Amino acid sequence: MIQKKKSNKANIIFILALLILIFVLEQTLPSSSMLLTVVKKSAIYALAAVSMNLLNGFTGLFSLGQAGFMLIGAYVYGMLTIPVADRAAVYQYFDGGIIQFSIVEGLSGVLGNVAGLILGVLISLIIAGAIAGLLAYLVGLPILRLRGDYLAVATLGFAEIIRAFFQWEALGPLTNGSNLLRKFTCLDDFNIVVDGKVAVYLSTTVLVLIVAACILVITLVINSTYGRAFKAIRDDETAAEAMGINLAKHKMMSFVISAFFAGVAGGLLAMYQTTAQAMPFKSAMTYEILLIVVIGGIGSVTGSCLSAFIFIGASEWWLRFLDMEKYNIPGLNILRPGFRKVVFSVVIMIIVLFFRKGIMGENELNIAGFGRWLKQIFTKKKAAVAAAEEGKNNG
Amino acid sequence: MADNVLRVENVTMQFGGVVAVNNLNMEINKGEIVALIGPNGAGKTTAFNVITGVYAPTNGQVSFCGKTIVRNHPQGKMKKLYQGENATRYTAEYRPEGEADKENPDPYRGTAHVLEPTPDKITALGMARTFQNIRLWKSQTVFDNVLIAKHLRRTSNLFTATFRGNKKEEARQREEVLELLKIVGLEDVKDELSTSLPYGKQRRLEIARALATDPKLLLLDEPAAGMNPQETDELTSFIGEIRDQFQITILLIEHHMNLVMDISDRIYVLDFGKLIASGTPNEIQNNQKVIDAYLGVEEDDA
Repeated sequence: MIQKKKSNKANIIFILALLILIFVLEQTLPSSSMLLTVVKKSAIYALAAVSMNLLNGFTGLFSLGQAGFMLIGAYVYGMLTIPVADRAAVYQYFDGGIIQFSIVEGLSGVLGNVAGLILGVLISLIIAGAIAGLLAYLVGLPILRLRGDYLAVATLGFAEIIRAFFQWEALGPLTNGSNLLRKFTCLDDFNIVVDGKVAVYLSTTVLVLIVAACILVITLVINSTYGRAFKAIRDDETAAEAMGINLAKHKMMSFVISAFFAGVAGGLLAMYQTTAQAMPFKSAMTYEILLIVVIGGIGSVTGSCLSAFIFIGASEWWLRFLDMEKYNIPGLNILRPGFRKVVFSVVIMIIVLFFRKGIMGENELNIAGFGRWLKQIFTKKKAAVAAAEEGKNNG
Repeated sequence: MADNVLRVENVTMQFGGVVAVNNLNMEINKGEIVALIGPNGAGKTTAFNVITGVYAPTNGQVSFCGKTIVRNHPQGKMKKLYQGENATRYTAEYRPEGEADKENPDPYRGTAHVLEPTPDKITALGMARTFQNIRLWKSQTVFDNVLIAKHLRRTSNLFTATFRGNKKEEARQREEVLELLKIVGLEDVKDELSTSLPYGKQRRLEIARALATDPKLLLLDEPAAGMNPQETDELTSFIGEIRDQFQITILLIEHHMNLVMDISDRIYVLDFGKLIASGTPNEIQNNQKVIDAYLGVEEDDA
């Protein structure tokens, strides 16, 4: 117990240090820096992956509806925060749409700009998640009776239907049909501007803070008595039911919580992209998130976070040079646009082959544990060296 | 009877054209250890699954501590297929003849009441079971396996549990689990993975997990399966101990006759789904029908 508390402390200090580092980096690096872009995008994907992990990894329900729930979150967030003055321009084909308020604007009028912005965005994100969760509940009623592959197919179908539904012209006054939602409150609105120049950059830090808070809540759920029940369902449904765990209720809980946080992740993605459109929320996005979960380790929260960073970093940044013909070695013209994806696929195959259980398996990254592990390796090496020397002396 | 714990009445379980359990009647009283025995395929585990809600019976009713928990009659396609007895006994149209039934009034008489609760609801009433093939939660430690079973008796909801509003309850549960592990002798391995335990200890853990749900009736499905004689002896005394310590009633299915004869107060014998005998171990040992069922009867003209 004492050791657990100590390692918890170490982890909290580590996360705080990380946040401070991100804050400092944001002030020093140019805002177009690739590192900040990767940090932002991977934070959002980390949240989506952890929410998927809660369902797929901890409850053992193989669902592929993540992109659908993210889409709902992105749209709901966008619809709620477009300033009234801009609505006519955004909903130009639909007479300015039917929603004629913005939560952020409304709260800013009452509470002042700063509090209105923070509270407005948080409330909008929570509503975005809640509506995704509500839809998950309704969809879950019939489809959570399915098992294994059937559930995966049903949720995948649901996500595709949602995507088509949101592009439906008849819903235009609400969703802007197949046109973009834009001009809503986005991450850059958090930067503190003095005299037309950004004094303090906060967009990345705020995003990472929100993601960290969401992941903390998911971790708390996983470590609570309900999370233990989820794991029991994953390990053996029959035994879980025989020990008094109501399967329908607990599966639904996990499904709704997962959808809620996927919705929040969708809202954050909209904030990051500054526009929202149904098109990119394809099943390919779900597969990306699934890959992150698998690479990180099914059943590991820190694994998902770590692999989100690695995955996004590799696909957006570190492997970029493979697409550029100017880096070709003369005579060996293999680098060309698209080659990055070939290498990326091979790397993923290698990871899946050699780390069957992902980077972390079912373990969690623990700073104190990491230190002990390093120490162990070091002492082992020393011991090995000593043993070898002893062997020499004896021989 | 006031101290009746489990009453199984006219239970028939038919799968398609196969009658697995045929008109089974059983009664278990408080504090008893009752064994259900029979040759392979006699329908013992099916009977267990009906009692614990895994299957809804085709016909019949099960009551627990005087309360009817499972009840059904042949419906739909089964109406035609049904080969068992008492087909109309539990339907809405049933009217008893004679005076005998007045003593034991049926609260569902005249209603088409069908009760098919899921296993978790039955466990919540105070009936816990173990499995023939051990079903522990594999990725969890010994301690967590028992702790998860405590989830049933929680008072916290999702919100209070997430934001740790249930610290007191959590601490109490952990203490209780530790206590329970001490009693069953698994305290020293509490942090090991459940599947890394030797077979006998896994059985013990399964029983401990069932006990953690605070049952009044414990159902053990072949607790000594795959055990050597020494382990079986240990288990025999262990079952007696937990009956006395937790003041529970036990129904068990078993093939090890030494164990059955040693600890059972009463025995029910099933063969081809039908109850062929019941009584004390002594009576059963000398029952010709039982001996025939186990050893087979020689046919006259070969």
